[in-house]
Amino acid sequence: MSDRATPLLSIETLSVAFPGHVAVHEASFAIGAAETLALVGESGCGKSVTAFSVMRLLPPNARIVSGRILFDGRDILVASPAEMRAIRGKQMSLIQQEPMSSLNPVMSIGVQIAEVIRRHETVSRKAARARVVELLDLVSIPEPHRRFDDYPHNLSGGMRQRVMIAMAVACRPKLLIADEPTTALDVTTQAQVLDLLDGLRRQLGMAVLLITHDLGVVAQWADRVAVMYAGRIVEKSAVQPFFARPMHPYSRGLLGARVEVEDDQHYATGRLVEIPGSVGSAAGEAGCPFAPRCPLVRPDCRRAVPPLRRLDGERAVACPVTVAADLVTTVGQEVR
Amino acid sequence: MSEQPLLSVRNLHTRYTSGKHVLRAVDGVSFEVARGETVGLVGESGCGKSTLGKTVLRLVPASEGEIRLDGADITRLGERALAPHRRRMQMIFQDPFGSLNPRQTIHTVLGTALKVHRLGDRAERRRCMEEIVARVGLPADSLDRYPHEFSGGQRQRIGIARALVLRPALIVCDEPVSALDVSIQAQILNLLVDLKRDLGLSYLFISHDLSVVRYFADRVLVMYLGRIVESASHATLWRDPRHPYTRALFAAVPSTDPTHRRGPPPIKGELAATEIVSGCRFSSRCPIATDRCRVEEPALRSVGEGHHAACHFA
Repeated sequence: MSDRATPLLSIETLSVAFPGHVAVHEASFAIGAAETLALVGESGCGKSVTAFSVMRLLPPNARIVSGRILFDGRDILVASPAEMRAIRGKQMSLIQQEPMSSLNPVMSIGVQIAEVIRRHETVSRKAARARVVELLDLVSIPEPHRRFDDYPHNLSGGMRQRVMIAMAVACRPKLLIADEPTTALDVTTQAQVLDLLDGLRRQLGMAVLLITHDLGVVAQWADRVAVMYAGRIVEKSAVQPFFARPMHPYSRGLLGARVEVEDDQHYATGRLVEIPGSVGSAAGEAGCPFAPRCPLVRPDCRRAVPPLRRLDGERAVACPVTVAADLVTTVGQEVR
Repeated sequence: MSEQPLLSVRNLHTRYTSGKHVLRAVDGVSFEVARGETVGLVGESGCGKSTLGKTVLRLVPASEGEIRLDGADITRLGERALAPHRRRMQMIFQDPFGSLNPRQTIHTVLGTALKVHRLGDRAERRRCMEEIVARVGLPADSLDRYPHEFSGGQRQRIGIARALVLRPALIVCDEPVSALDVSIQAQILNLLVDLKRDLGLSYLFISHDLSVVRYFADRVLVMYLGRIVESASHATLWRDPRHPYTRALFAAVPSTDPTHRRGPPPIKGELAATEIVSGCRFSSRCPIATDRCRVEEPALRSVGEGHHAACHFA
C-alpha cells in the first residue's frame, strides 16, 4: 500500500519541460497495486503532462529533463518504442475526459474494443467478439450483443465513457490512468462511472491513477492524494487525514473555496473564501510558486522553493510555515 | 407579490425542428424573477436550461407562450422595437475563451455594445468603460489589450463587464463559473454577489452545479427534459426536496468528507431527450415510479408555501 512496499508505479523526481517553460518540476509519487491515487490540481498544473509521461505519449516538443518512472520494476523512460507499444493498452491504459474525441466515429464500438484485444493477443475474430460482449456487460452496458455494432454517436456521454473503460480494461492492465474521466459528464452519471471504475479496480486488482480537479471525487473514490500546483507536488497524504487536516496553504485554500452542498453557506450571509490572484501570479519569480497568493507567506518563502518534507506516516508537505506552525501547536499541547 | 416582477414567463415553449423531427427543448415553462432576486436554474446537460435562458433573451425564438420584461410583452417584438428592451437584459456565457473575439481589444468588445445602442459620445463611452473595467476588478490598462493577454478568470471578468456596460436590470448567467478553476470560481461568484448588491441586478443563474446554485440563488428551479419539476426557495429546497429527481441530484454530489459513506447511485441511466414519453418524463429513471406515473403526467402543484413539485408522490 505505502511507498515503502515495492510499488507498482514509482515516479522519481520527474521533470518535464516544454520550450520556454517547465511543466513538471521534480515530481515524485508511487502507486501500489490495486490502489487509487488521486492527482489533484487546477488546469495547467502539470497533472496531465505527468500522466502522459507515464504513458510515454508526450507531444514531440516536450522533453523529460530528469527522473525515472519505474513501472513493475522497469524504467519506462528507457523502454524502446516497440516495448512501449507492447505495454500500452496491455499493462497500462488511459481514459480521457472527452470520450467522443477518443473514439473513432466511423468504426463500431465493438470493432474498436476488439482491435485492442487482437493487437495484444492472438485470438480469432469470433473469440474477440465474444470477449467484447463480455466486456460491454462488465461495464454495465445493457444489451451488449446489440450494442456491439453501434457507433459512438448512437451512445450517450456516459455510455461512451463506459466504452472507453471497456477498451481500457480489455487486456486487464495493472494500471489504469483516468484523466478527468467524469468532468464532461453530469453529476448523476459521474457517480455511476466512478463506482464502475472502483468496482473494476477491486475485481481486476488494478491500480488507478485518478486525475481530477474535483475534491469531492477525491474524498469519495481515492485511497491517497497528491496535490499539484504550478508543476510541483505540494502535498501528499492518505485521503482521510488530508480532508481532516489539509496542511499546505494551497490545499487549505482549495477546500475552503469549494462551495459545499451540505453546508449552509449562502451569499446573503457570507462571502466565499477566495484564493487571490491566479497561477500566473508567480511567473518569473523565485521561491515558492504559491507565495504570491498565500495568506501565510513569509519573506524567506520567496527565496527558495520549499522542498517536499515527509512528516508522520504518508504525509509530505512542501511548506515550512505550516509544518512549523503545526509542530508548535503539538508541542504547546504537550506542555499543557 | 404585489409588485410587478421584472421578468415573467408564461407557458413558454421552444422547439427545434430538423426535417420531420421536433425536439421540445422547452416544453411549457412558467416562472418569474422579482427585482433584485437571483433565480437558480439547475438540471443535467440537455434538459433545456440553456435554451430557456436564450429564449428569455430572445436569442432563440419562442414557439409558444409569453415573455414579459417589466410588464411589457417582448415575445414577438421586431428587432427595432426590441432594442430598448435588449439593453435591460444581458447574458454572461460559460466559456470566456470562446465568447470573446480574439482580434478585438477590450475597448472594442465593450464599446460595440454602447455604439449599437447609441449611448454617449466617444469620451463618455470611454469613461463608462473605464468605470466598468475598474468595477469588475480588471487592471486599469485593460481596455487596450486583447483577450489572449488575460487569464481565464480575468476573461470571465471581461464577459461580465460586457454584460454590465449597458446597465441592464436582468442578467442571464449561463454556467458562468463551470469552465473556471475552483480557486477562481469563488472570486467570480463573490464579484457577482457584489455587483448584484451595488447595482440592484437580478440574475437568472443557470448551472448544473448544485453546490454553486445553493450558495448563489434565492429561489431554485429544477428542470428535467424541458419542464420545471420542482421550484422552491433555496432554504426549503435543500431542507425538504420533494421531487425524486431533485433528491437524486443532491445525493449524487460527492461529499468532501471521506468518512461520509456514499450510497449506491440513486438513479440509473441518463437523460435522453429523444425518448418518446407518456406520463411522467422522469418515470423511466425514477426509483419510486408506479404504473400511474407511466400513464399520467403529474402537474406542477403546490406542496408548501412557495414550494411546487411535479410528482404524484411529492
